[in-house]
Order: sequence, then structure tokens, then C-alpha cells
Amino acid sequence: MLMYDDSFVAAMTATTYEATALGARIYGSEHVLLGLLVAHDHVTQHVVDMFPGLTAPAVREAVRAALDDAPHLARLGLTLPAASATAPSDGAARGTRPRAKHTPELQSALNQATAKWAHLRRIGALPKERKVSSAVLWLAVLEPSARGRRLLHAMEIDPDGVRAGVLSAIVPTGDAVPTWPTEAPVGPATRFTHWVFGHLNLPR
Amino acid sequence: MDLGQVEAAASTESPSDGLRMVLALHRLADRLEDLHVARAREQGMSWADIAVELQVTRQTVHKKHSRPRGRRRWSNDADV
Repeated sequence: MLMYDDSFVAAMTATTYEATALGARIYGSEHVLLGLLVAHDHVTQHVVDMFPGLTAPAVREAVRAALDDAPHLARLGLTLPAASATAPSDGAARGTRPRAKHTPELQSALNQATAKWAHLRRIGALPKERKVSSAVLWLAVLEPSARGRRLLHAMEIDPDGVRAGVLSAIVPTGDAVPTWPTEAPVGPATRFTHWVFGHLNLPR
Repeated sequence: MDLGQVEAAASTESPSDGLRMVLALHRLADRLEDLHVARAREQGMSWADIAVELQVTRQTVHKKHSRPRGRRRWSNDADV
């Protein structure tokens, strides 16, 4: 049984190549955003139609110039000329398989996004497909804790607008677009576990 | 800018802004380390010499930087 469909696999393959081409040791949500834009499946097509400024070269340039870090460094009086610290790379080179390891921020964003996505799926707001598609990666990249969202802010693209585009691309045409929950809903098993550990008074 | 001004700029912020600034500095320092280690290797410095400058063991610096990343990863004359 395959868990992931072709669009997911294509996006993750593109992600690892983009991360390696940018000289990253491990990949994060900014590289997943790049991978999604490079793979260019139908969800991405829908989003890019709504936001023409959201292109792979623009995001690559934003990652290279660390646009999300720039205001924080500016407070210390540091201004970086764009693309000073890393050599330019085209991301088109294909050769050996890059390293498959991800950052903690991507993991937590994926955890949050899949929990919320599964909740919407359970209550019937999203279609129940058998395989996980690249839309889940889009939703993870747009989570508040992800670096991808900060980069989009720095590029002056509204992440919530992008998310609305992703959700409208995955619901069947004619259905209402669900609102994205701010907190991942907690199920009875998790609530019970928290209750038990809350009453056990264990040393941490 | 001296250290007092840096501390003043850092201490007036909320903790989350301060932590965000630390992250930005970490990323900047990592990028500068990559750049300068690559430059040192191109100019023929040994791993031991680089390690002395960075105040780490030569095993650490070799493990972190010996495998080329980015564009050099695919070039034929990469220094593995």
C-alpha cells in the first residue's frame, strides 16, 4: 500500500534537490515551499494563478538573502547585501541523491497541519482521499511556526490568502471552502492521557 | 556598534523578538562559516589550521565541511 500520491513524491524529491542546491545541510519548510513551486502540480497551479509573485526564483532569492531574518539583523545595525554569503546556484543540477533529513520546525509544522487536516477530513469538510497529496505539504508550509510562512510575509504575500487558495483547490468544485482551525483539535485518547499525567504528579 | 549598544538593542525587545534575533544571527554565522572555510580550503589551509582558528577540534570542522554542499557538490574537482 502506498501512502503518498505522485504529487507528494514529486514535491519531496524536488525539495531535497533544492535544499542541496542551496547548500543546506538539512531541508526545512522553505525548501518544501520551493519544491512545491518547482514540482508545479494542480494545487500549485491554482495558487500561482492567484499569486503571480509567488515563483520559484523569487522564493530562492528570498531564501538566499534570508529576507525573514533581515529586519532582525537590521535592529543590530547589520545590513546584508543580497546573496553575499552563498555562491549562486541554479537548482537545476541533478546528480547524486541529497541527504534526507529535515528541520524540527518542519516536523512541528507537519504535525500541526496534518492534525488539523485530519480533523477537517473527519468532519467531512475535505474529501476523503486514500492517499496523501501535496496539498498537505502546502498547508504545513503555511503553519504559523513554519519558516515558509515568515518568508512569505517578508515577500509581502499573504499566507492566509495562499492557504485559502490551497483549500479551494482541494475541495470539489461547488462545495464551501472550510475555515482552517487555529488549534489542532484534541481527541479523547490524548485528553485522557493528559488527565492521567496531570494527576500522577511525576517528576519531570 | 559596540557591545553596550547591542545589548541595549537586544534588551528593550520582548523575549520572542530577542530569540528571533538570536536565530537570525545563528543563520548568518553558519553562512559565514561555510563561506570562510571554503575560502580557506581553496587557499590551501589545512583542516587543522582552520580548526585552530575556529577553536574547535579538526575532526569537528572536517566532519562539518569536508562534504561539499551547494553547487560544488556536483562538480568533478570537489574536495571530498
